[in-house]
Amino acid sequence: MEDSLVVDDTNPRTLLHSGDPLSPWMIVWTAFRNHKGALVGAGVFTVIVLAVLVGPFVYTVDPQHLDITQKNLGVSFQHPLGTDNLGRDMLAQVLSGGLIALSVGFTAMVLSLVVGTAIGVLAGYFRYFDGPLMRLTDLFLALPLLPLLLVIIMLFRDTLRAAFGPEAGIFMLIVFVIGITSWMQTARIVRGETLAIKEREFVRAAQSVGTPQLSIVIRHILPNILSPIMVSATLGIANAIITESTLSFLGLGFPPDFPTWGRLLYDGANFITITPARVIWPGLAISLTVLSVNFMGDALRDAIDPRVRTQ
Amino acid sequence: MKSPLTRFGWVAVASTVLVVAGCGPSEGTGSDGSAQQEGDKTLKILYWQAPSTLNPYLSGGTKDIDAASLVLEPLAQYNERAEMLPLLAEEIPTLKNGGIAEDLRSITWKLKPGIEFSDGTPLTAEHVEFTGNYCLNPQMGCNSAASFEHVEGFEVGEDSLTITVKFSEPKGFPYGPFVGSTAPILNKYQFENCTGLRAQECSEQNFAPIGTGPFTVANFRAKDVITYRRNENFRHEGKPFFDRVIFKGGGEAASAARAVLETGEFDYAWNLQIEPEILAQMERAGKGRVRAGFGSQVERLIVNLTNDDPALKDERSLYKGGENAHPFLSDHSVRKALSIAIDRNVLVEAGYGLAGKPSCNLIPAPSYYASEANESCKVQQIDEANRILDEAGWLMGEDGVRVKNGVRLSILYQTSTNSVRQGTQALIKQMWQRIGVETELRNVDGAVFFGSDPASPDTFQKCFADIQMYTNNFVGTDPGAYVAGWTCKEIPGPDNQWVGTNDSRACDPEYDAKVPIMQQEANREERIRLAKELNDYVVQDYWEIPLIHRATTSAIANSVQGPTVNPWDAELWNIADWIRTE
Amino acid sequence: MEQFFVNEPLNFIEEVTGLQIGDSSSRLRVRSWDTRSPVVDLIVERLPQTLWVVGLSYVVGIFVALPIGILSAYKQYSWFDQIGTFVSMVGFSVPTFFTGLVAIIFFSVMLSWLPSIYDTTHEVTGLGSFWVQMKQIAMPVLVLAFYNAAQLSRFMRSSMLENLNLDYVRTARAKGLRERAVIFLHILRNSLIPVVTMIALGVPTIFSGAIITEQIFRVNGLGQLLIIAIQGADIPLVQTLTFLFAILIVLFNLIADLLYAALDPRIKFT
Repeated sequence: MEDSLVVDDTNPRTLLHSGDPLSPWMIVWTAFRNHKGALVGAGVFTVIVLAVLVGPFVYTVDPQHLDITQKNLGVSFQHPLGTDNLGRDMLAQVLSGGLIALSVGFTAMVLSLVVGTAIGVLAGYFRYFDGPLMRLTDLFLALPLLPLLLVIIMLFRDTLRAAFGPEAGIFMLIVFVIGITSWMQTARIVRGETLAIKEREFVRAAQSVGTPQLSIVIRHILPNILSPIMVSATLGIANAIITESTLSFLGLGFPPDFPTWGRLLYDGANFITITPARVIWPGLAISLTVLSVNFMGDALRDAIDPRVRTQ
Repeated sequence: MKSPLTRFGWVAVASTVLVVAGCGPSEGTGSDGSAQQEGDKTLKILYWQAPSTLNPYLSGGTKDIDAASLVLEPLAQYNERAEMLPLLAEEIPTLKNGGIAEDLRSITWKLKPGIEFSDGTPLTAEHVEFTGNYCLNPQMGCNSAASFEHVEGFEVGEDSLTITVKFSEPKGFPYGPFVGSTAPILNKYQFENCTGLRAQECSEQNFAPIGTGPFTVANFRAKDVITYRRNENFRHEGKPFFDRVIFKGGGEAASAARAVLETGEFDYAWNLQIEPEILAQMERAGKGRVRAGFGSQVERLIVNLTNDDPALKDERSLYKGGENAHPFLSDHSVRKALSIAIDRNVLVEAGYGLAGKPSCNLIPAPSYYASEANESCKVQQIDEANRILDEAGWLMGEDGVRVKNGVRLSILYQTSTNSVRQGTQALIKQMWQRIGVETELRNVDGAVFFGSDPASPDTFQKCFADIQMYTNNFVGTDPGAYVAGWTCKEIPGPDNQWVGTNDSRACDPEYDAKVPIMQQEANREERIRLAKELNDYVVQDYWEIPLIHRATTSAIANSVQGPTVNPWDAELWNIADWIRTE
Repeated sequence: MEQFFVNEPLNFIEEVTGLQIGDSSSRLRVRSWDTRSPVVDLIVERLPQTLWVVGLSYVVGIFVALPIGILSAYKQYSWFDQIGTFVSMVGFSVPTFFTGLVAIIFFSVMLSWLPSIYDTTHEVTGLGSFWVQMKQIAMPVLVLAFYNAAQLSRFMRSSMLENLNLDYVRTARAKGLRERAVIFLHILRNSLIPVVTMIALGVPTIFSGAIITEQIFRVNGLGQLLIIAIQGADIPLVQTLTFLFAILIVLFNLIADLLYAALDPRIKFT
């Protein structure tokens, strides 16, 4: 029992004690490199990103090309992942769907993290803001998501479509909608953590020597609440990808000929017993992405966490 | 009725046995003998849309009308071969038997004597008259108003069993009122205080109407499930063969099909618009069968003839005489090219299988009404379409999209959310690509698209798209009211709260003039000729582009005999004859 | 306003308890535009199945997630942790419409153990019918609990990890406290703070239901009611439901804040 609590030698602290003049980011990188899960995660993630970015140039089959004579095929040389019920090539669809799913996932996650963290820290650190900001959070939590989504999409879809074209317009809309409806949990958790950390001695000490409020927040509060933010981030990506598929399910997402992983999974679900490949690959792609991001997040947290570093 | 205690004792013993047995066997084998018997006497029906009322006059939804048809009956109904059969009436009135007046301005029905409602009140012509006036009351917003068009009034005969319906003008087809499941007979005593504005508020009555049908409502949960009990007062001795019917709603089509065909939990599932290979695969499980019935349903493209540019704001898709015309769809040659570039056989193969046939008509059935003038559309003609467009001055641009005077052939094509429809959309997009037309696809949830909420921009009546696709059909076997749907006054707009059936916003006085001629024609041959003419008018001017003659597809458990998929009336029209065999 | 704050709550209480309060027949009732029946009736009709399915899945989710989270943090990077992480990530990254379908195909179609359609009219009258009820809620509860547990166990784990290396833990060990006491009295209590917030904040979602799961298994609870109300533009119904949810959210926010203070003595409310 006790053994497991002894910190293993891959911990960055040992490196620090060796006296090397490492920059903070080098320490982070070293710690990250020593984390096995993180390496696997980063590897898988790189493969996915590369496949999604470069794949379409190597595998040049048009994901939207229909050929009804080639429908519901299994694995073959011509169609490495088979085809769907309209004869579209699955590999090409998974590749092109990945690009959209990843960009939606990341942009929406970043948006919701930035908003959530900013509001959470402000509310937790400055008592002055706490009341109004938390009421705002409650307001957003109380707003049922679906009506909000429906209204936002109905109101802005045509304007954005006219301004940026159908695809870019709907992309911005979906990212915005997902981001704006998923920051509340992060905000509440960040606020809770900030409340607790604010009372800690080192913050009090920093305040007493007259450190500006902004740098207290940046130097002392933020690094200490990084771990819940990281967890929120990894969950946020998955959440965004899934919310996007739910939007498609409700007919509010991307146009139907615009494959995303969530949409491919939804469309393929009924064909699970006929062409299982249609659900396995998109499902696997989503899971692997989320999993690898999560491992990287874990490692990053361990690496950045100042409590581990300064011990 | 067992006392709660004995019942408790019974199930306790039964479940102890179960627990000892150690695993979770399926419900059927796990229950004791009496429950097994009860299962035989219960019929379970699954609709993937849930009924919201049992008063068909308050709802236009098939789900509500079908659910009500177990309880309420009309004077006559249609069978699966589109023949009219008397139900509460002695016989079908005709010109020959004197039921229809020579001037075509009235029709007289005779009720069968001795029929009682489920609460024991005898059925008389007063109830029929009450029902008619109930729907005619302008304050109530009757959904079956189309059946009662041109009705002037009713006259009850002295014997209380005859009722005469009077029309304001000659009716070529007077079988609208009280025929078919959209216009059944209500109980006067029950609904007396529910007329006009009060109609909507009588939930107790609307949720459990008293009728003459084979079943009575035992429990109604709006938007969820209805439990029916056998009507002990039903006029046929021994019928119905089931003691209880459970009518469950909600979910979606594929899982509904699965519950009948694969798990066998339900006996009947309705309207399964699913890809043919999935249905075939489920059918192979051997628990049930899939049946299709071809009625008048046609999946079609609606061509918006008005400009739907979002920049127009309030004038978007608004018909304003000849102004506000669509930038390119107002060109007949573009519409024609779009139609002949479609390979309808491919659409059938991908999305319909045996449940669909290519169609070039908007009135495809009954067969004697189907026009033969448009058959050429069944063959795809890409070259011809390209030639037409070239000739009309639409020249291929560098990006593969045709342009004329700076207008690109770029189409926004919307339909409801349904995997078959999205497949069709994708296929048509590719076909149109070959003639230099760019297509953007959009799908809207069915509940919104068909929801007719005047505030929503996504309803099919608003038609904020260049092309939209859905299925339409006519009630019963006569297209008289249906052809009136393409007249000028049916164009949806803010003046009529966006209610109207002419979504393509075509307005042609010549067409409008022909409609009443057809409606007042009583001679069968001449009527058919006129109906075909009107069909050809719409089809050949490409206001709507017919794609597929669709069947109603339902799944039926193998142990149930009797259901015939009836596309001409309520699907459950003959439920009194359904029986469990084995 | 009076309608929502006075009349409707009274209607609600009457429907639930069957009592007559005051002049109930002349009291105004909000009616759904679609079904034309009082909104409160619809909600009360659907409350039981939502509570059964979504509520139970939440409870199951918590009971599964907490031990997994604690153990995988305590034994960070062990096999248990890796597998736990993997499973919870799969649980989180696969949408419920997919897990639900897989469960139906496996348990209903292939094994025919469990019904795929929820019978809302089923009444529990004894052990036998309780067993039937258990069978019919098994799959939706399983699917939802999987999803909830995946999310919660991640938070539990990360929160535990936070505290494992803190000074007070070392102090506690140095005092010679037993490991068990250190874990449960010190670490767990402190790491539960954010988790309890998560749990308390999630409670209102029980009432708003799980739209997709309810649709797949045809539970027809409040979530399904809300979505059909939105789609059908049934404004009175949407208003009443959202008002109900808003009250619940405010209530549970308050509870979360109070729990914060109770669990963490450093937080003071002035």
